[in-house]
Amino acid sequence: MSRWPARRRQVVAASPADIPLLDVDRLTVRVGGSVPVRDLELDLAEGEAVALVGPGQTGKTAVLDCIGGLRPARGGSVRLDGHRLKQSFTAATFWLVLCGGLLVGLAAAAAAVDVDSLWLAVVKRGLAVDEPFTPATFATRLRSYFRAELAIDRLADHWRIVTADGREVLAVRRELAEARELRHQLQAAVTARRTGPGTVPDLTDLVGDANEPRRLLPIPAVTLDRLAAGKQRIRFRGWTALAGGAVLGIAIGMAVWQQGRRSAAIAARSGVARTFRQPRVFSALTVAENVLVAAERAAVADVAWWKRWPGVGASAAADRAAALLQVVGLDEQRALLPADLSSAGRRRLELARALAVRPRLLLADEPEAGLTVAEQQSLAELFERVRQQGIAILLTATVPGPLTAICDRTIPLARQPESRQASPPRMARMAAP
Amino acid sequence: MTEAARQPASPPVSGERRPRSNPAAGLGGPSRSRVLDGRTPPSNQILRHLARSPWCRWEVPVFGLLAAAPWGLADAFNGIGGPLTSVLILCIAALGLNVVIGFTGLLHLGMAAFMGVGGLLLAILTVPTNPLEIGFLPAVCVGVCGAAAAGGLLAAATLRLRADSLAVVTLGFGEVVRVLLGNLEQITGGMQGLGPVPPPGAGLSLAGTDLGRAFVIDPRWFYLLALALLIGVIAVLRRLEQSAVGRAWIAFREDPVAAATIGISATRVRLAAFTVAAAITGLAGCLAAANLGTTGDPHSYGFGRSVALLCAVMLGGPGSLPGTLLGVAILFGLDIVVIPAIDAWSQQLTAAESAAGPLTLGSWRLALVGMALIVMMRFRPQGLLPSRRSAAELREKHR
Repeated sequence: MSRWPARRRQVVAASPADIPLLDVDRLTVRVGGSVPVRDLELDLAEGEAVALVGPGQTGKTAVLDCIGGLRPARGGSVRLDGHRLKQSFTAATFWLVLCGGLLVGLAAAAAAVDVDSLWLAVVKRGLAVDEPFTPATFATRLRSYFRAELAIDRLADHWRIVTADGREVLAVRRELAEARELRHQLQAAVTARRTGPGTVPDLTDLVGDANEPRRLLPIPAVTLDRLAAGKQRIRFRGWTALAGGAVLGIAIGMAVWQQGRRSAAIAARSGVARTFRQPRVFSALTVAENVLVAAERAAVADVAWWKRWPGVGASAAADRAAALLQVVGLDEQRALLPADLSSAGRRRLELARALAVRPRLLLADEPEAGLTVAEQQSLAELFERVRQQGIAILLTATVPGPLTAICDRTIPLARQPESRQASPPRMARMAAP
Repeated sequence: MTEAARQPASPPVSGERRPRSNPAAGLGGPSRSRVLDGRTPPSNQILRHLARSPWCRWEVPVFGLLAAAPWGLADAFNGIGGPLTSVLILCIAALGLNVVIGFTGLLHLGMAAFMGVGGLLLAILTVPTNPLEIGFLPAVCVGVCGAAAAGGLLAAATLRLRADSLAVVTLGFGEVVRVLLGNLEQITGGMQGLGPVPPPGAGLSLAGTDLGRAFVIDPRWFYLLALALLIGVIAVLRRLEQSAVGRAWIAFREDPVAAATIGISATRVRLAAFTVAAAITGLAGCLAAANLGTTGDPHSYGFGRSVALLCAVMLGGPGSLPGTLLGVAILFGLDIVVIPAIDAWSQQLTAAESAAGPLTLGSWRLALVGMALIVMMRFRPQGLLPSRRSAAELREKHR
């Protein structure tokens, strides 16, 4: 027997004897409008080989798709070592989703509180009025913006009373004390407006200085109302947008997580490999690269993501890929493209790629299709060797042949005529392009 | 059963190990991993490594010529130096788009928006009308990271979308960014753009020369900076292409289903590819803003620019680095460098005698480009310089 590449994943084999490697429980599969497989029960032990045999349209491929995570099951469950093949919701997932949600919420809040005038009030105004940009001034301006207060700015030798967003100048004074006094009174007026519609302050006091009429600005009631309403509006908008955006962001995050939750990639990482009836090899990669790309994934699968520097596991993956190419007999053709291989060669290549995942369970969909009897024989020998490595095999076939002969059990699948019926409107919908 | 499979595979002997240790690179030609085999003296090794490396095929001559151009062709360079720098910057942007289109096969129609994001962040952090002014290099880092984050968010929001709907959503994203750039006037400067962005070396001095002034006075400085960054980006992408990540992306492009069955998660591939592409394009945006001195009209980050980048990638051959550069050189080089030069020349020739005004190619350039694209799609759909991998894929599809 040849030296087979070492498999690290066998450690998990310490599971109790009563839990089979693969446990398919009452699996129901739907394909289009028909339900070809109902309540399928299937157990596979470590290193066992089982064949699903049946004519076309009996759902053999669909069963493999369900187990491999390519197709959702209509009912029932698929467990590997007693676990469903799903990505778990870890603490890292929780924090990532939460932070992403808050980020989206902050973006929404920024849009709602008019980030443009916020920028003007907090960042740019200080520049126009000679105020240094420090965390303290930043915080002060941020607070006054969200409270919709009036602020005092210095411009040349004048003091201006401006709205917190800096867009509107209400008054200009030469003396700071005077400006402060006026701001105090104006702020009181605004606050009074805010507390209720009945308490309109008398504004004549503010406009009363007859000696310097040019410095006095009439403050229209509209402005006063806007200022009075501003605080509530900004806060209401900001908080609702933050909450709504966060909910939306968390929903997006959960969708991202759910997207990768029950996928073939998760199944592959748990040790389920798959080959297809029509070999699906990567035509742009060479034969060697086809196997290497799978071996590389498997080599870093157990490495934490922050330790995956470039080159980690590269030599192990290369060695494994080379060894597997020798095992399937494609060593000579490794520089070729898959298009240059025969169909038997492509099938072997796909098998090597599947084995590079370091599987514990190999799902092979009609591996003998399109091969001559001699090729089927040699492929059966290869599968026998795979099985001797302790890899369980679940394969499908239309008729018993050399490959089903190496299997421990054969499960016949038959057509279910009653399940193929659909209501006329449904059939019309299905027939429509 | 073939002979090799029948014989028991022997454990790898040390003598046979070398060719096997890197099967992918070791087969098409001379292996790059053989450099450190310890038999040849080090200097000789480095020379051999250089001679064998793929850089010698076209990069060293092309970039050598480009780097020497400002001195060798000093007269001509004064006229076309600025436009040539723009073309180099657009090369970087197109390489970013090539990551998405060429490496992962996803269609992205809003790539220029990431240029806008990168350029805007650079401008916000450096213009004197904002009190932040944190300096060029940190600002570029923030710009690149910001563009990458925007790319990652866009990818996260579009994970479930397939080809066509993904293209439409990315198009919409590009337009949203353009409209935001135009409308958030206090932050982005509105339609005039935010400026003046100080030159890259502002405040630094090297051996007595003020780098900021040098960048302003002499366009060669910025040209060389853009060229160096372009070479850096190409080196990174070449490395990526040959790495495990790059192979996984190619596998995903070829057949997402088969890629999933060997453990390549579509979610991760899409997030990573969009993020890397947005980072590279954001870098191009930073350079463009610094080159112009302003973020400029938001329309220059809109759909038109995105599609022009896409055309350049398709023209050169998606997935191929030299192809992308050639595509940009042809499309934008024609547009920015060659046609204005021809027009200026013909104006000089004919201005004296012709009363009707000179014949200008400039008004025909879009028609020329369009016709060239149609002809090319008919006769060479894989692009002018297709990569080995894309060519193989296309051949397989048309079997």
